[in-house]
Amino acid sequence: MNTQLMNENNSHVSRRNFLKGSAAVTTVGSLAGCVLLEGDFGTEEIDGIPDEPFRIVQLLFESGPPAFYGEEARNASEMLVEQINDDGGLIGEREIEVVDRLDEDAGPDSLISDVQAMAQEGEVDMIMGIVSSAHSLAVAPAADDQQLPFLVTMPGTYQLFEENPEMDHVVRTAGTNAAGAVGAVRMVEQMDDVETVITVDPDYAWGHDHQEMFTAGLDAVGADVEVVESRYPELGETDYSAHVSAIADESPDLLFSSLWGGDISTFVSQGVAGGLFEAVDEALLIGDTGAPLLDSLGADMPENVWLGGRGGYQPNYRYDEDEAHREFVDEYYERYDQLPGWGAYHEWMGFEALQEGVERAVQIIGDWPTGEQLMASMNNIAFEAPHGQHTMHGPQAVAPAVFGRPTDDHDLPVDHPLLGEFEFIEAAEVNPPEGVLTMDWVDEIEPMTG
Amino acid sequence: MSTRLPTFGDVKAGEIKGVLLDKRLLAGSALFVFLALYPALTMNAYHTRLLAWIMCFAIAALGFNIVLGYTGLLSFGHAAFFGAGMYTVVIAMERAGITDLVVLLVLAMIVAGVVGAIIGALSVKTHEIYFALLTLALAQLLFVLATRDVGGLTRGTDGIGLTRPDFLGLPVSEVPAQFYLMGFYYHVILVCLTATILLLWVVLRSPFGLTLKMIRENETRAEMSGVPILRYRLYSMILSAMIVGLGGALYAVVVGHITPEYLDWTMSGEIVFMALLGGIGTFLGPVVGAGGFILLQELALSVTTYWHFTMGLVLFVVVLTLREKGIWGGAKELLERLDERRDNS
Repeated sequence: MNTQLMNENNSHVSRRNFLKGSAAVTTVGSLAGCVLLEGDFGTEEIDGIPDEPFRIVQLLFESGPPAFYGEEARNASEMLVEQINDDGGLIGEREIEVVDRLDEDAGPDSLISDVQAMAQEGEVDMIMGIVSSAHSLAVAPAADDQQLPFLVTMPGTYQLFEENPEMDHVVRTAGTNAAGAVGAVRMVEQMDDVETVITVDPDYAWGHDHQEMFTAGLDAVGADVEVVESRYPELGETDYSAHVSAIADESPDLLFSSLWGGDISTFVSQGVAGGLFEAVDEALLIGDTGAPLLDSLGADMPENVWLGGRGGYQPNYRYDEDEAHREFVDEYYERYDQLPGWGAYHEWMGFEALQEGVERAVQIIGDWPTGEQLMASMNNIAFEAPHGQHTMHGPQAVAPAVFGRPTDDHDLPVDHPLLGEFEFIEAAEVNPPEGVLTMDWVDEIEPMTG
Repeated sequence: MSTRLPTFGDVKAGEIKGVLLDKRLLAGSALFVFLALYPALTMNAYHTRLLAWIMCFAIAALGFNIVLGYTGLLSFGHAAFFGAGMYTVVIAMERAGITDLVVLLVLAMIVAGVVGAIIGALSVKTHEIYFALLTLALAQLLFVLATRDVGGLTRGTDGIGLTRPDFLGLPVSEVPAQFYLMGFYYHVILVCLTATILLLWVVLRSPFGLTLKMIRENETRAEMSGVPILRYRLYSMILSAMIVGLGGALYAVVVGHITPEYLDWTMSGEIVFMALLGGIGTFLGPVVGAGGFILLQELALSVTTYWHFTMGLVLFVVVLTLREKGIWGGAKELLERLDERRDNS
């Protein structure tokens, strides 16, 4: 397979020529991509499609507090791989096999060693997934060093490509955390009567980045809003009562939070019990919130909140209009008896990019791509997502921000609320232009147009 | 009052010859040659990296054992020294533009030594659980500073990446990552480990080392003999911190990305476990423990999703059955018994 081709390339083609080839793929591909999206793909003239499956190793949390996120990703990947293989595999010719899953809880030491082992053995075509931003910052450069293709699907740190701009074996299909944080700024711009805000974010880089972008963004757009207090509970906090009481006493007009996973669930639950959502006018909970939170809170979910974040990853968002989304949600629900959460959606986008990238590369070069060519072909593409076109700026996806309010008025077969009254903020309003550093851009953003 | 402390005594030519023909020295030399040639013989980058990882932690565990095994103090703050070594390398490279590996390693050892002196000065007056908790608390202060990104030095929990250092003016950082590790950096780590073993072998058999043992065995007696206990404990903390810092500094380049987790108490726990697993009552036990711990983790990860449980179970059984002897002491004891049985028969 492709490993063999990669080895042949490595041994017989100079790195300079190899890179030139990849650059050519990127350039030509940018022009041809749109045509290919519409084109009918035929494989009868394509040589060199390896006989063995396309082998993927997934990196995700299988233990520890973020394991629920990993479980969603695992569920989605099992389902999607089966679906793709039922249609013959990638470009209808080559099946996918997830040959292993590595537990992120082992830490970056072990993950980087495993990357080395996979690169050494040459029996893996691509690694995929990863939840933790810190892990992505450690593993991605290591994978790039080893020339092992890495499709990053979940973490949101804006620093991934800003700190490592030269990586040519890494692509990320998840939007950055800028989309959620600046999306929240855009929401505030549309709100009346918001003068005071309290922020509550987890006490690690994800939370601090969100708080920093949100407050800087508010300043930049000239919002007449004061962030009166910023609180940082520990990651994995179990008792939010002190935070709840303090915020309730302050009674801000708006509560902003990037808490996610079990943390946001515990916080909202204890907040409801402590009367927090009666004390605040509005809450913007942007830490990849949606169906799992609504499931866990059920009827206790307050109504004066906006949930969402970096993408339209809500099961009933454009459910009727988008057939692919409807099928994804229905199939997921049928298999796992729950609606897909953000981990599942992120993984779905990864597989969409992979299929699109393989098609594009094979169409352009007329052969099965090497690892680097495959990664290059995933740059600057666009494919369908629940929120419309999911666009890649180079190797990095730019996602829109989508928020909604809890409502029981939905048609999906679950007895908990889902979101309604969706607000869609297009990607260009919540992401920096290509080549501009995120924080530089946030400091200079203009008020939203239209 | 003067104190007569144990000394080496005069070493004669015959004794030197005896030392050189010592089975342990010969075995150690053979192992060194084997390890030095391993990357070239196998061309296996994964194994090379795994060995580099083990050797870095072997240095750290050896350093830790100065305090636990030789001075009798259980520290839960050694992550501070390991992390100090790591962050010194990355900050010195990024902020001060220092790119020479030798300078970076020396700097890391000095910084770790200073951190060791501060933590030691604040904690050596205490004993047992109080010492463990105090070192834990002081180390956690560094962890918190790193997570808070104080001064913009550490980039918080997302961590900070580093490039490969050069070596004595040679631009080795420009070679591809794989060759850098297999052809150069691995051997630097091997030399550092060997030097650490030799240094500690000498130091711990010197009057200084024997005094530390005396303090461990009977503190009151040592004090009554005129040994300035607190000062010696502080010295052992500083020496320990410098060696653990060296391990951290070397490992920073191997891992390439540093997060505050390396300063967290869980890292201290891992170093303690390595020493216990190998055997704190033996000189080379921590080296064996580091290898055993990392290989066990990699093995458990590859066969089961319940790898935490598997590791906990193995460590529980080893520590419960072999106690301070650990794997290395247990293996030595087993060999001695076999020898005795052979002699008797």
